[in-house]
Amino acid sequence: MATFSVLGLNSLAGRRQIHSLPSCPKCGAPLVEGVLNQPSLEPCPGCQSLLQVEVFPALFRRTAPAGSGEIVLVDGESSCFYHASKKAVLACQGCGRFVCALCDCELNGEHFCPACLETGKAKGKIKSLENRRTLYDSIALSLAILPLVIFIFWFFTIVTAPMALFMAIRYWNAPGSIVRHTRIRYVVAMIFATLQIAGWGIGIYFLIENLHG
Amino acid sequence: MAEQEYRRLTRSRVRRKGFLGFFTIVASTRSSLWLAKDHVLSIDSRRYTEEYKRFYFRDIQAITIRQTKRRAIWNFALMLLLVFWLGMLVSMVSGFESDSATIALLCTWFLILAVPLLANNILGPTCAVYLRTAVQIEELPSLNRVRRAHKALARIRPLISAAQGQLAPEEVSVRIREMNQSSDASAMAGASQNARSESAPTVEDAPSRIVVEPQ
Repeated sequence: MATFSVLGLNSLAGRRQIHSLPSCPKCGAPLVEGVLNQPSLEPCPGCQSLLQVEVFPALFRRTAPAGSGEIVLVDGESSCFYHASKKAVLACQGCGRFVCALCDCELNGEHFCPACLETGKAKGKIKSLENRRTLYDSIALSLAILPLVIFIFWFFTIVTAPMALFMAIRYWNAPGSIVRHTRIRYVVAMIFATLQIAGWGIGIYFLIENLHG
Repeated sequence: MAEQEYRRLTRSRVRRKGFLGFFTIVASTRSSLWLAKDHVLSIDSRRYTEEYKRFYFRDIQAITIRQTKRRAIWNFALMLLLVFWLGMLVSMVSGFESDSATIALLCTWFLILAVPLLANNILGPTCAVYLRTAVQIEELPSLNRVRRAHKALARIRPLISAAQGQLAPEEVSVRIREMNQSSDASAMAGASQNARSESAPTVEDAPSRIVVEPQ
C-alpha cells in the first residue's frame, strides 16, 4: 500500500546511497576497512573480485545545510533582489545585484545569482560550467578530406569543398576543443578545399573549351 | 578569460556501452582524462562534439579500481583463432596445395592475430576504474589497465591530498566506525518515523475528488 511517507522515504534512501561507504562496483557489498586504502588489489568480501579502493577525506566530510536567508529586521537594511524580505549577504559577481544566502550560488570561489549562473551556462561565459562543444574544425576537415579518402565519393567534392571552406571561415573564431588550441585543422581544410575548388574550376574550364573547340 | 591549461592524463579510449558498444566503431564515444590545476577533466568525444565532466580535487571521495576478466576473454578468443589459423597453415605446408601465395596470406593473418594477443598480455591485467563524488559515481573508461590506472592514481593522489589533506591509515578505520554509527542512528530514526507514519493517511484512503455540496 503506497503511503505518502513511503514515497518520501524512497527518495531519501536514494540520496543516502551515495553518502554511504564505498561498495563493490560488481556485487554492491559494502567494503570493509581491510580493503580501503591498501597498496595493492584486495579481494572483495562479497564476490572476491580484486579491488583497490582509495578513499579521501571528502568521503567523511559533512556538507553544511544551505542557508535559507535571514529575514530583514531593520528598515533600510539591504535586501535580496529576488526575495525582498530576506537580508542580502553579498553582491552577485555577474550583475552586481544583492542576493541572500538562499540565492547565493558559489562556483570556484565566485558568487553568482541564479539568473547569472543560468545565463553564464547558456552563453558559455562561465567556462567551468561549459559541458559541451561542437568541433567545427573537425567537421570542416572531414568535409575536405573524407570524399577524397573514400575514393568513390570524389565527385561529392563539388559540394563538400565549398562547404568545408565556408565552415573554416565562418567558425574560425569559434571555440574549438577545450584542450586543443591549434587551428591546424581549419588550415588543412582550407588548403584542401581550395585545391579541390581550383581543380573543379580548371576541369570545367577545359570541358567548356573542348566543347567550343 | 584565458582558457585553462590542461595536461593529458590518459589517451582516449572507447567507452563501451554493452556488448554491441564495441562494434559501433563509427558512432563510438572516446573518453580521455586531462589534468587541470584544480580538477580532472573527463572528455567524451564523439568525433564532432565533446562533452566535459569536471571532477574537482576537493570533491573526490574515492577512486575504485576493479580488476576485470576482459584480458582473459580476449586471450581466449585470440588463441582460439590463432590455433585455427595455425592448423590451416600446417595443413597447407605439409599437405597438398602448398601454394606460396596462400601460405603468405595465412602467415600475414597469423601475425595480425598474434600481435594483439602479445599486446594484450604485455599491457597487463584489465580493470574498470570508478571515481566517486558526493553526487555521482563515474566510470573512467580510459583507465582500462591496472598498470595505467596505478600510474594515473599516482599523479592524481598528491593533488587530491593537497586539496583535501592527508588521511592516515588508522584514521580511516576510526572515521568508518563513526560513519557506521551515524548511519545506524539515522536508520533507527527513519524506522521510528516510518512506524509513526503507519497511522498516516494513505493514497487509497484519500478521497478521489473533492465534491462541494450545494447549499
